[in-house]
Amino acid sequence: MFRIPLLAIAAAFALVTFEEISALDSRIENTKTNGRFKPLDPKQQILFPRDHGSHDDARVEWWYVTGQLDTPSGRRLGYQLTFFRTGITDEPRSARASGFAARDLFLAHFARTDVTAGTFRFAERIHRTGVGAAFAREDRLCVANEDWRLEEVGGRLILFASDGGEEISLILTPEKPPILHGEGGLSRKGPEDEAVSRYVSFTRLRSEGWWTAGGKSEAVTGLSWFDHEWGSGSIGKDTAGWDWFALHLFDGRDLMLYRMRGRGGSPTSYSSGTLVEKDGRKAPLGAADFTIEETARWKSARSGGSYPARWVLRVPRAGIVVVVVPLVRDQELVTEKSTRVTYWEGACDVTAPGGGAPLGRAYVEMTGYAGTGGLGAFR
Amino acid sequence: MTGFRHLLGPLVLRPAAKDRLRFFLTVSGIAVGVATIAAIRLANASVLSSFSDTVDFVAGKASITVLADGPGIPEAALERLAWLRRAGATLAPAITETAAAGAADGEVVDVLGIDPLADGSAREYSFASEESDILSIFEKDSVLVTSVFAERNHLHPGDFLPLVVRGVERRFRVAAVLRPVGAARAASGSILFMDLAGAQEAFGKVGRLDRIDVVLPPGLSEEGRARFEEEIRASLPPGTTAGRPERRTETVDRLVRAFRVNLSALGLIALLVGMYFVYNTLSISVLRRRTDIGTVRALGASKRSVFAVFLAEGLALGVLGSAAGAGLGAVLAKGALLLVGGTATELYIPSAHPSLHLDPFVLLLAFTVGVVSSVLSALAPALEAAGVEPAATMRHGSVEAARRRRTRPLALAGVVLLVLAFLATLPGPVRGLPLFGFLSVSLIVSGVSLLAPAAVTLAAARLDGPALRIFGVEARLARANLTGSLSRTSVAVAALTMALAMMVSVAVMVGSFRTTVATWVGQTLASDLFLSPASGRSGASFGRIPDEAIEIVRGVPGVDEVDPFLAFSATRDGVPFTVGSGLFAFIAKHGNLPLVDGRDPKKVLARALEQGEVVVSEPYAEKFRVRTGDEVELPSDRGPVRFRVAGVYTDYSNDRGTVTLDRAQFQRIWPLTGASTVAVTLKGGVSPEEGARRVAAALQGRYVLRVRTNATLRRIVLRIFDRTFAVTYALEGVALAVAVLGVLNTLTALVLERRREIGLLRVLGASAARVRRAVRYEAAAIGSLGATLGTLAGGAMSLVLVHVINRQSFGWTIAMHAPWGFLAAALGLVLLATLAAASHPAGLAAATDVAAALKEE
Repeated sequence: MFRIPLLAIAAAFALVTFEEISALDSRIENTKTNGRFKPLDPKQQILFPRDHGSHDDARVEWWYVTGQLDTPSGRRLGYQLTFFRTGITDEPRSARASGFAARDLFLAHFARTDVTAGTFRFAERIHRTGVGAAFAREDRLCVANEDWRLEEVGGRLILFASDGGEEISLILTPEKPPILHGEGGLSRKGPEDEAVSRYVSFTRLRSEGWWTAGGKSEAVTGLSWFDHEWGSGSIGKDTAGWDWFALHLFDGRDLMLYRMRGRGGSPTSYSSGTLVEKDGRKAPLGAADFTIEETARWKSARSGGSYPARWVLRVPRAGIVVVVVPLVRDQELVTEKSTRVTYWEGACDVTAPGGGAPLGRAYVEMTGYAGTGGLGAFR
Repeated sequence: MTGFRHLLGPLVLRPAAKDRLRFFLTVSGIAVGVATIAAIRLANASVLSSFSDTVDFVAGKASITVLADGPGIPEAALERLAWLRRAGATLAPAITETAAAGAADGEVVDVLGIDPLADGSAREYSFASEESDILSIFEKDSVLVTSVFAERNHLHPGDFLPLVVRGVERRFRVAAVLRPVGAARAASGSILFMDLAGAQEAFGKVGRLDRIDVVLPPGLSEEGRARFEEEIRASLPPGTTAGRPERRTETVDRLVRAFRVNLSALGLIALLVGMYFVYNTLSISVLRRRTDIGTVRALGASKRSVFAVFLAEGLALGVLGSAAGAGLGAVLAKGALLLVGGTATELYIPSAHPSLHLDPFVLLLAFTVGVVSSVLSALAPALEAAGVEPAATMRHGSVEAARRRRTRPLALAGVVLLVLAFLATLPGPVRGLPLFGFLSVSLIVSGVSLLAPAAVTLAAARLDGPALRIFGVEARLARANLTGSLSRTSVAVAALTMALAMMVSVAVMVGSFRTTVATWVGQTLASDLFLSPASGRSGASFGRIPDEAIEIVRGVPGVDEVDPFLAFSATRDGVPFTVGSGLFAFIAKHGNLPLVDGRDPKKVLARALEQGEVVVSEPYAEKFRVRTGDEVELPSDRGPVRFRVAGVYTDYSNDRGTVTLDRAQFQRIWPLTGASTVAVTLKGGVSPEEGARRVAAALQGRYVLRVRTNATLRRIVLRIFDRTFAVTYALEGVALAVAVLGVLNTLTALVLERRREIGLLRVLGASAARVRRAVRYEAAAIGSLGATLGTLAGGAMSLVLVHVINRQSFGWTIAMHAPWGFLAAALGLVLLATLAAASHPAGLAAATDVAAALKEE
């Protein structure tokens, strides 16, 4: 999903305040067509493993992993590890001599939810091109920010992240082939020509590894979701925020839905989704193919943002009517050091409307609910 | 303390009111001494604090700073320190440089290349402009400027600022303006910030860093910090050190310490002269008021009250004089700062930009020193006064008789002090400072002062015979007064001796130094032209001339050879020194590197080139106790490299000390290119002016370099030299003025005291002219005695200054060259000034109202 807006990422500057972000906007508007950043070419074929790697001609790009894990002792955990890359210079690959010459900023977020304990923690990092800090390879999936790392090795993904004595190391094995969302991986976000991005996922990754906290390591198993998105455009002028859902249903199907919200809070026609069958076949969903009904709210004491806290999702074509409930209410990220965006991203349960046995597990992302703190960065 | 208050009137206030001139002179004497101390201390403190402030602001919140022993830290060090990030620490790598802003002759500014993303946690920044296009800082030629600098140069975001960097003038775009907080306060705002990558490229430091500031996770115990420090050291590549940021201030302090201590010592001598002044004044006033003291004692005043009253007078004089001195010092400090700051900028820290900071503590200190020394000086006279017996209303002749009896023991003590002074020249420096040298100088001063009474007596005794016949009765009178008022005259002679000794010694030292440097410049500046990077207003040379520019110069028609000098700053045990390089073949051919031991530099350098040996400068040899044949160790990325020392050469260009290698060998070890300066020889038939013109024309539009002819550079070297010692000259002037005022004071007091005597003489037939002449003769006697003793003491002191103090603090060998002309002129001037000072008391004597004086009788 088109997770974090371009401008917010690029403005992630330890020295910069919100007001200065607007300046960047004009810089990017002035992007020369003969420069480094190119509009996406719809005719271009997506090829793996190369396209899992970094795209230098795309201004913004990210790799996103979310998942829910269980320990043998019965603890339940959720995690999110995101690597962002944003180009900050339109110069074509130049002859700049310094290894620190900043072409890109690399940002990363790492959040963990301890469902059993009801706690949520996150960490953020920001670096520029340079020695011993962060990078994203162009030939294959291999991104790193300090010691946080996501890399493809022999068709599997290896993931490592750590923060404050907590460590997670996982091997992620795809159970379905990569999914290209929209038309051949081209995902439209607004009416403007450039409001489009490439969007690719591994929707179902079998996850095994270790979780270390408080000096103790536990084996973990579960399911993860990998998103990779890149582009040089914007998210559309009238977009105020979005809600994104990624569901692992126990029947083997995966469902991705996103709803773009306009200025007044109402959904725009650019909301869409993808349903992936157990065998890996996918079906694109248009705005008319699904409904999202909010049935509860939660107000963040930290940011003052008021978020939906319970949904009923309906995809009549696929016979899906499910309730999505956050496992921990407060899974809000206030990313002051890096993206400076306030958003909610958290582990959720999936049940039938009438209750009963769970039908699946989900991760949900919501942006644009925390007033200007979350939205000021968007414009 | 009964009677104290009653005594103040008759013994202190009334005489003071009656004798306003003497009062004024005393107060101003103290004031001048205190002002000198205050001014020098303020100027020094301002220079140093401007530097340490810069160090603090630049270090920011860093708990540990990684620095290179040699020319930069390899970038890979960041990878080796990556574990620190995992431990919750932040790494803020930086490039530290200097550039000339505005144009070739613009202001020298510090340049700090930073990673804006990491630096926020190490240093504080705040943007002044709202709509600044902050991300453009990542672009190649982009800078952040401080608001102070922006205002001075009328800069706004988006404007272009010309900077001379590595010999090329380039335009940098102002990305944003910083408010004067945190790092923007460094160098008093004369600092620019660039992106790390841009700074590496602009200054030719790709692949290297100058420092890495480490911000450790909060809440660490001292023990935890120390452990981190240890771990960091363990993971650093060779040639780098990690330490608390304070260390750097210490290094710089060490750099300028010798210079600073020498100045302070001179200030102390000025105060010593001031103390003599107080002592002088008070002793005279005790003597003059002997009768009054006897009277009040007879009327029941206790010894203690009398003692207290005179001490109080000393205190009052001290307070008044010191207060005035502190005020005057604050005013003078501005001038002193120009001198001291100029020197510090020239010789040590090109971008120091010191601004005067009127530290109240320094002013208070100078005030306290003034008051305490006044009171100390008043102690002896006050004791003397307390010792006056009530009945002793007789003439003070009896006291003088006692003084004369003390002449011999005093002289003996003086001789003992002089012997001690000699012994004090033997030990080496203490922590790099010539403390024993200073002790020796002060022992000479005190020793000779103690000899003053004996000298006066001796001279007076020798005055019998022909002199008296030539000068007549007046001379006889003068002689009688000299010995008759020995306590006063000897004090005047001693004060004059001290001031002159100081003047003579410093003049001889500076004169010798100047001649030595001039000779050395003649020997070493053998080339026709000298190229240096344009470095702004200060004469100091920094930055580098790129190789391409050197090649252009080499290709200029008429240019015969070029010798590039390339250097970087290194440290050994925390003490900074320079690692330099030149073409040994060039030096071996021209022999322009005089060796301390007098060997032929051509042979030594040729051998050194062959064997891969180095030569070291005399200050280096002195500082690190290295001799020919020893080995020196230099830091490099691959660990320390050892070289045999082929010879020690004289070098007066700086006191840091330099190890010089052949350029090829140097470049094999350190990844540096270009040159700090380039010496150029011209082919026969090309005049230096013509050569300079051709070189400048060839560089025109491409490189901004300074091209100087041999003659110009010689002039500049000596001008810098003279400016460096301007403070010394100023101080000498002050001390002399104080001493001459002392003579005036003494003579005035003597005349006033002898009113009755003079009246009697006049009645007995002496003309006003005769009386006047008698006073003049006395002044001449005091003056010439002071001059003789002063010259002798000064001569001795100059030996100590040259061979002990200078050598120990700077490591220079100086050949003695007494500036005879200057000395003769100065001594003559002092004698004239003494005579001129005598004209007031002489006039007073001549104008003595005979009737009134006799009535007193």
